[in-house]
Amino acid sequence: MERISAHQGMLIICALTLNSTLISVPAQVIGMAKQDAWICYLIAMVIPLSAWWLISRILARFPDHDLLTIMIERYPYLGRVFGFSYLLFFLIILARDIRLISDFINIIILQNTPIVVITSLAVITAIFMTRGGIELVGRTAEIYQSALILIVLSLPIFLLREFDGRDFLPIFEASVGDLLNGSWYAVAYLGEMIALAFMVPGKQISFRHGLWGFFIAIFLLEILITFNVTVLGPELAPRFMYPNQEMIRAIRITDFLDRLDLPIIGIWMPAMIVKIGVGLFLVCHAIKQLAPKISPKSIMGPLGLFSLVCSFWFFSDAIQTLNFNRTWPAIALLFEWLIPVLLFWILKPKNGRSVNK
Amino acid sequence: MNSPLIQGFIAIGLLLALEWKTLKKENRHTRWFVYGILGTSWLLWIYCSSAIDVHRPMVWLESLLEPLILVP
Repeated sequence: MERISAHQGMLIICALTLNSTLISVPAQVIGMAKQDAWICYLIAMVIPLSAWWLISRILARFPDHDLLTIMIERYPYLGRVFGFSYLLFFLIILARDIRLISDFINIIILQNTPIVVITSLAVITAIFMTRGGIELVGRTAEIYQSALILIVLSLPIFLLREFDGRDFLPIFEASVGDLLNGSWYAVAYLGEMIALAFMVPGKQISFRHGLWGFFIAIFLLEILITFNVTVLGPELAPRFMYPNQEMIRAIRITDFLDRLDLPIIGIWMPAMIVKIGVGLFLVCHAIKQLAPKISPKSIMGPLGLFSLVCSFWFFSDAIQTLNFNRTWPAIALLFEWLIPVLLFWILKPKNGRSVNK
Repeated sequence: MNSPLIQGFIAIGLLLALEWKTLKKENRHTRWFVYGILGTSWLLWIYCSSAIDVHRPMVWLESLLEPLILVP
């Protein structure tokens, strides 16, 4: 049986929370809460945290199984309905992530390359990674997610010259409504951390390590949004589609190191492909659970192609993926919070004991 | 070469050629699932590339949820 270490699980959770949230969400959050945008992540993290606690409690009751298996084994019909719904949910996230990375690279770096070529390269890389199993995804996350964490941690040093603390003033100016609106945009992305519970057995991930991965991601998002506000300004930052990219373009170390954005994007890109790989693995795993006769290894390539096509079918352009962030939390909260709460009550072990004991 | 039909054929042909060895060893459920997914992908690709007004599930979802969203 394939295993991931607690450390790898922590990094995968960090990747699930951080990598796509940092693309466009900060602009929308700052647009709502201006200089108090940093508070929005703190409000939004309450829901994923409570969902993660509930899911950890469920996994502790059934330590040898992942959440999908538990649902299907306990309630074959209702579990399959839930399982299929989650399959669609994660397919939409996968298609959105593929579209986000392709649009970003097409708009920022490779303007003359057809977007389908960029998308294909990202998906092919994710397919090869995923075919190696969750272990390989975990090891890749160890390399690239660690590098991304270090890069984001070092950004304050590089950007210190551009830092203008006056942009934070007046502090606590945003109303409660503005803060809640800003949190609305972030909550669905942060809640994607629960995905790990659907593909890895409970004994391989602990509540504590998941929490660490999530807190690291939140800390890094706080660093990024703080510097978005102080480097670009609370009025200008929401006008950019990719505020973090604009912010790292402001880094000037010496005359010959004035395009530091390219190596930073070069580290973020494989980390984002790791997230796409996790999504692809999860979709294949869900199909395997719903239809056990299908071999997951052989369907990864075709499913990668299918998700590529879905990314073009679901979203017309980069603007639509951005606008979709407004309505998406309504669905995401159902899957990331409401159903886990329901499952917590439904999936009680018989006779009050763990299934495995 | 620019026709979506041919693009789809090339992509699916390449994928089948690469996967053929593995696919031959698999059971018929897996094989039919793979053919089904590839066929659906091909049809969707042609639809997205050639239709003038593509019906997108996310646009439909957005319009469906619009009355529930309080965020400006």
